[in-house]
Amino acid sequence: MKNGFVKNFLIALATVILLVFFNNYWSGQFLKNSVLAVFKKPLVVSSSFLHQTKRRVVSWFNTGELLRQNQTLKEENRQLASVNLKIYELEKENDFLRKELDVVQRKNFKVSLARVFHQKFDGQFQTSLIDIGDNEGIKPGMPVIFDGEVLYGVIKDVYPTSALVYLITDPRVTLSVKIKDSEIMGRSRGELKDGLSLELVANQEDVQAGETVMTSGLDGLPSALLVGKIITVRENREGIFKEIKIEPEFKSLLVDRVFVLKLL
Amino acid sequence: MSNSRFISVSIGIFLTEFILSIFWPFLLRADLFIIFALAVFFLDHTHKTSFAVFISIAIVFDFWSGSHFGNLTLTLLVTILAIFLTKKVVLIDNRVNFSALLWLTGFYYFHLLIKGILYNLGRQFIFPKLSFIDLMETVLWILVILIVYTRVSYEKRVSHF
Repeated sequence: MKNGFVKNFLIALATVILLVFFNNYWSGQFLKNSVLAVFKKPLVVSSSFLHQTKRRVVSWFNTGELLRQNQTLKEENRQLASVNLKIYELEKENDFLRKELDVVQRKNFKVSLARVFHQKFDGQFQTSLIDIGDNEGIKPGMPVIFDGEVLYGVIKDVYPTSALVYLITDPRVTLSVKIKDSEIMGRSRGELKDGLSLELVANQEDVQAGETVMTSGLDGLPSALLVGKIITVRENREGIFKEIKIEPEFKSLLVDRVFVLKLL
Repeated sequence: MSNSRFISVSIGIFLTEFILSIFWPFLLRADLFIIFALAVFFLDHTHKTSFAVFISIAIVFDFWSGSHFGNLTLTLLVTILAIFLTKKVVLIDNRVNFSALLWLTGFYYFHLLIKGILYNLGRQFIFPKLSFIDLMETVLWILVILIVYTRVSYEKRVSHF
């Protein structure tokens, strides 16, 4: 391979630069989309099969735990049913008051179901590819979530039939977040395998491990999307902000199907 | 290493990463294809792998890299240029040994540094993580790839009659 290396290297460099310009700036990601479109279907099927296998394997090892969880969920379900009734009454009352006060209605979202067909983890970035893109009206910046409004990532690049998602654990993703049931706000940053870090929370603020972190709604994402739970809080004696680590909520879930929230 | 073996191992790496990303994503702290490509360029003295095939496979991996297209290939090109220049200055043998492991670790981190610089040129610099655990996992993956490389590049010599 090293025979005539300089000549080969220069030819390769020129070819790659041409391809980059053709794909990224001239043809609207034609090359990348073509390759992804060809392999999307088999990868979706394989990914789905592997996720189901993983689910089965995990459930074999966790039968006792599942039974306990099932019992707890049944109890919670009964409690939620009664809470739902109260919420229904409150919603009716709320709607009535909004109309009365002529308050602008809360922003509505449309949801698109997507399947993850490729995940890329390495020492620097964490990303996923989903099987819907421009064809479903996906735009960069849209949040990607699971059931229960657990935030998974943010759309970065959109191709005609697929899209690139930056996971919230990717260092390139920063989110405006707040701690549930308090006024404390901060900025989360992806830390790859270590989850997320919560920045800009002053030393004098009272933050405890186990508290829930959710989106604040100040950076264009909807508010109250679940980000994760605080696992460690350390006071920084040399600085003015605490050092806080967050365990992302999506880590405990099996990533197969996700939802993209589209602002109407 | 022949072209067909290079392609076969690359496909194997893609499938391994695909499966690991679902079952054990925490194991993927290093880019296996980059390590393999660097190992081939650094150690292969048979010159059987065509440069065109080498770059074509890199471009295919680029589509799946999770970054802007071109980032992975250009970074790889800069790193192999660095290997080429290092080999011009320093006398390095082509055998798989401890020194090869050290050189490859160094070049892999150099690749991460270049990737961080190339990403969004000047807008946001993603510095490679330099924790001990990350380093150990990277070294472990380089070791695995070196073993694979040794097994795959071995060719039985048959005497001419």
